Amino acid sequence: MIRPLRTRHRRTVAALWIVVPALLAWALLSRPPQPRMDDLPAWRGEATPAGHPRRVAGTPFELDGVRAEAAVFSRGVERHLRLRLLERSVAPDLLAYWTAGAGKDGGDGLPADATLLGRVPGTREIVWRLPADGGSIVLYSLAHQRRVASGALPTGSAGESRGGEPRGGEES
Amino acid sequence: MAVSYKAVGWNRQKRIYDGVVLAGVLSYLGLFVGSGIVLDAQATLETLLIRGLGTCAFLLLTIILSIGPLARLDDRFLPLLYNRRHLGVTMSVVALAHGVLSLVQFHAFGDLNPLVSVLVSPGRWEGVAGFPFQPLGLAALVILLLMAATSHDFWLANLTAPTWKRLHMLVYVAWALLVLHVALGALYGERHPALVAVLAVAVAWVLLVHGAGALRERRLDPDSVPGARDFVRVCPVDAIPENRARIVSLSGERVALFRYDGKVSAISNVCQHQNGPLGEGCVLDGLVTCPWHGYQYRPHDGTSPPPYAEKVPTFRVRIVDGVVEVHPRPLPAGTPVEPARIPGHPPTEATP
Repeated sequence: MIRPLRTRHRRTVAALWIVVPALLAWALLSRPPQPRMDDLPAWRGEATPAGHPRRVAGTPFELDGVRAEAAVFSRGVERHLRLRLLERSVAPDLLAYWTAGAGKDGGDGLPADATLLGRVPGTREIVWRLPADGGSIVLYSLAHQRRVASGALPTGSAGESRGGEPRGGEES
Repeated sequence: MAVSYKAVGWNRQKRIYDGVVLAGVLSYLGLFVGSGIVLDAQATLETLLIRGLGTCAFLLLTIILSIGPLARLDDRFLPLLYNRRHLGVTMSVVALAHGVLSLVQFHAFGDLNPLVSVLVSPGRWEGVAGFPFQPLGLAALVILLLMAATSHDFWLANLTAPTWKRLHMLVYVAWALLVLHVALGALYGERHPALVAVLAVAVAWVLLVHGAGALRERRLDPDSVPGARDFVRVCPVDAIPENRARIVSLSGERVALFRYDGKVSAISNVCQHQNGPLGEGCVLDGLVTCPWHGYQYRPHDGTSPPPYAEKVPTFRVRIVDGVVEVHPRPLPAGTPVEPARIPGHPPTEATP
């Protein structure tokens, strides 16, 4: 007869009442925050003198592994990287990471402290805010699980102010 | 009912049911993909199909899981229960299409076997954050396909209803796995609060209707007369509607007392087909008719009319001072029992 089956069903439902909401809440609350670039300043022609970005001395700089235009700009304590690949990379899903070190740590993989900046949009120009002054940039192929290019970011005071301001689209 | 093996026992109701389900699935996919093309220029057709099939399967599973308790709570949902099996198979096929497309899209072009690739996909197994969601979906799909493969009276008869039921209760495991599959997969990247709200509402809905159904079932199982050895007074005969039943729980099992043609008979409440609640059915053409799939039994001996061969246990019954009394010990399935005649009602023609 099926009374034991009904009892088992009731117990299953009771267990689901506890387990599923708890796991669902845990899964949703455990999601790491997504880095967003929504708060990048609108720099296209409306920069004010006070908030004007300035090119950091030592830029443009080069990446080893890929031909690219790369420059670092400062605005106050903020540092921004403008990047445009000059050749189309054969690696799909190319991601840009910032690391505080020289960018050579981690072998062909990513350094342990790598911070995701965003996706490299082909040969389109892109601007990211950097977590800190200095450090390095690493371009990493998610599909191939290997480093494609890297380069040390220039550090120091701002140099020239106009003509080199970031123009690129803002990643969000 | 069928006396011989048939792949599908088609009838008009099943054709209408399946037609509505198929039209619903195709309409949903068309709307999902069409609106995706308009609203998300970055999404490819394969991606939209994967998402559309996945959400469609989860929606169907939510509906399927709701039908059982809703039918227990309100008779108007019984028509949905009638062909739930086809709805389940449809859901499994949609989920399989989602799985196969995902496998092709994300795992088919590497050096590894795609199924191995799913199981070794990057992720952190030691915690919830970053837990690989695809193996969860694969495990749920295996359960759903196993259920779909055994969704036939052939398996029901060979496995026996209790075993078959136990097997199909794995749907709750599959559901829990799929909730996590969605939370750790799609909602890991898509952070819009509306998507989280939709999943939370779906989960809450399934849990609420099952909770309400379980509470109702528990009220039907009082342990008031456990282990009784003699006739048990059950209810006044007037408390049983004509051609309907009253369900009582005796010695741990449910008994359906049917009143018909000036008589009262007692048979097991459990249909031999899928353990449907016979006492929630009615007497049609002199036969007790299960509300789930229409299986029929003669009330006086619990036997299906020829050429069918299903049998359920019967119980001795009598009426004393206008009160129905039932002996709690079940008789072997198909044992004829003289119905109790209701005083004041003239005898009618012979029992069918």
